[in-house]
Amino acid sequence: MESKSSDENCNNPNSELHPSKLMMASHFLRALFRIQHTTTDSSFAGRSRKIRRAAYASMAYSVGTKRSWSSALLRKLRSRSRLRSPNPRRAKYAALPGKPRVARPQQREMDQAQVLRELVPGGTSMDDCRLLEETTDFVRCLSTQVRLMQAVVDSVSI
Amino acid sequence: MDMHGCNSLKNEDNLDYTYSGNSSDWQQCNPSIGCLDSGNPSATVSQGNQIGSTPCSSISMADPFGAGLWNLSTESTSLDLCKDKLQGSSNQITGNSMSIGGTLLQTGSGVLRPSLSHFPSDSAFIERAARFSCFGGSDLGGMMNPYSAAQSQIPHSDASRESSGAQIQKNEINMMEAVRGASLSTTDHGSKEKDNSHAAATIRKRPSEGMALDQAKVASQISGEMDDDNVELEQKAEQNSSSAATSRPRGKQVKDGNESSKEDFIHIRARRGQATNSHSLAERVRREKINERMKLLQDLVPGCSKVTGKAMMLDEIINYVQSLQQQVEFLSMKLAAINPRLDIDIEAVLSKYVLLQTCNGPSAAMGSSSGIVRPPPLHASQQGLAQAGLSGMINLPDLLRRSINAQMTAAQGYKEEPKMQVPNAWDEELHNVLQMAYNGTVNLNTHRVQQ
Repeated sequence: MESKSSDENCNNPNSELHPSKLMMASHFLRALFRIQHTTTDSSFAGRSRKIRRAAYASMAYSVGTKRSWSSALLRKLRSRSRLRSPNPRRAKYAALPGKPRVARPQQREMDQAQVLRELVPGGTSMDDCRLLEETTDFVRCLSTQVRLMQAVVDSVSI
Repeated sequence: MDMHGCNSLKNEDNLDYTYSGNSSDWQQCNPSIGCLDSGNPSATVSQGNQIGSTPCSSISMADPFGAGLWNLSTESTSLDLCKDKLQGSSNQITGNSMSIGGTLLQTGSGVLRPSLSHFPSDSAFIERAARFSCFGGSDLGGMMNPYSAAQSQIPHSDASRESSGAQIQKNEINMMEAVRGASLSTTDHGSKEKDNSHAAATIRKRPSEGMALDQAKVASQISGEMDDDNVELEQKAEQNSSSAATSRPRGKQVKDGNESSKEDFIHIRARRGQATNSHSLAERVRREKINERMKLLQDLVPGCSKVTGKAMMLDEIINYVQSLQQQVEFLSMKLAAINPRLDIDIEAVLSKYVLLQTCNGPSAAMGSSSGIVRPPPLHASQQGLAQAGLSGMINLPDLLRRSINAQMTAAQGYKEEPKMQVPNAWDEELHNVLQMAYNGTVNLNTHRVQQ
């Protein structure tokens, strides 16, 4: 049965996916179509930024405030959206994760935990133990989001 | 020296035993506490209650109790007596210790272990107990009652004595741990919890050895880590016996203030050759926690199983997180580029999807989807989708692909290419819902496209 085979295939990959993947999918698709419907005139770069933000927002919304990284992410997004209208320049300070940054040549010498703290949202105020916990959940959620986006791209791009 | 001989004997025995659970620790400690002293060490010895060098040292630890009766000579004497009683039955041994424990409890010496019911049924334990040189003999069965009676006194035991009692317990835990072996059940969590709450597992410093073997592990927070603890306790059993043998159990309460609330703190036992400073112990707990989490991360990050070492692992994790973020960026750009082509009213779809989720079950989704889809007129392309959705084998990419294809074919008049579903990790409901949305809105889309 094809459904069975798909189930078997789904078993292993599903184990790596975040438990709230369906919520994530719904949030993200909603945001995606909203962006597509409402900002047809904006530039490509603006749209891609919006989509990226929507991806992180859907991640954070689906997880809620159970995790500190999601709360930190939500806070960042809300402050960004609040700052957006009055002063677009201020949005720079609330940089979303994954913003392409300059490669640091001395990254290896830096404390790796510090690097990880900067990568994971809300990680700067965590001890190592909690940092690893949050990293685990963040990685799971992020990989689920990537897979979701990849699926959408695959379906749309034929 | 007899003491040393006794100790060495005990050490060997302890090395052989594996620790099966914390409960066994606690249970082991009880009899030893009984042995410690109810006020007359010589009497105790004569009863052959000594469980070995550890109890002897534990008895010395009873000094805080105010017994102050034990000294080296006494220990050696008791050890001699222990050897004499070696031939006693193991049941007797445990019985004796338990009776002593009962008396000791009555003196408010400290927390004793519950559930000595394991003792009689533990043949392996009996074997091991028989090997101990310092066991006396008395009826084991009779011990249970005084113990249970004594147990009830545990909650009422003097708080001030708890720490000292706990210290003694620790020694005995180590002692009895080896005795109990792996045969004892580890499921006695309830009693263990009780023990933990009562046992003041303060980290005790033995001045002569510097080995904090007296730390009892309280798994009130980390019941899941019991297995790890057990392994550690096995290793510590050896340590305990050897250290107990050589140390003078002076009652020295160290770091008592730090662990006043027993439920809140995790008590660990120092391993052989490791520092027993409370700082280093906390450090070890922290390190173990971190190692656990690193293992979880290792499973999550692909290609990390070969990498060993924290630094390399962290490098891999950092690289993986960065690569995921870059992928999100890249995919968002891709979506921005191709987005205009997607023209599906997803809101309705997703609301239905959430509803379906609550109903749950792919069949339910399929049934309701088919029901919802039916009313709007279906195109030929839509029918293919509907059938695929009903069969429940569409996955997200295929569904969206079909919708796009249908949209395009409707616009361009091409024949829709049937695409077989690719195994995907996404649920079928999502696909069905998307299909429904497509079916619901394709008419509008075609109209829009054709205009």
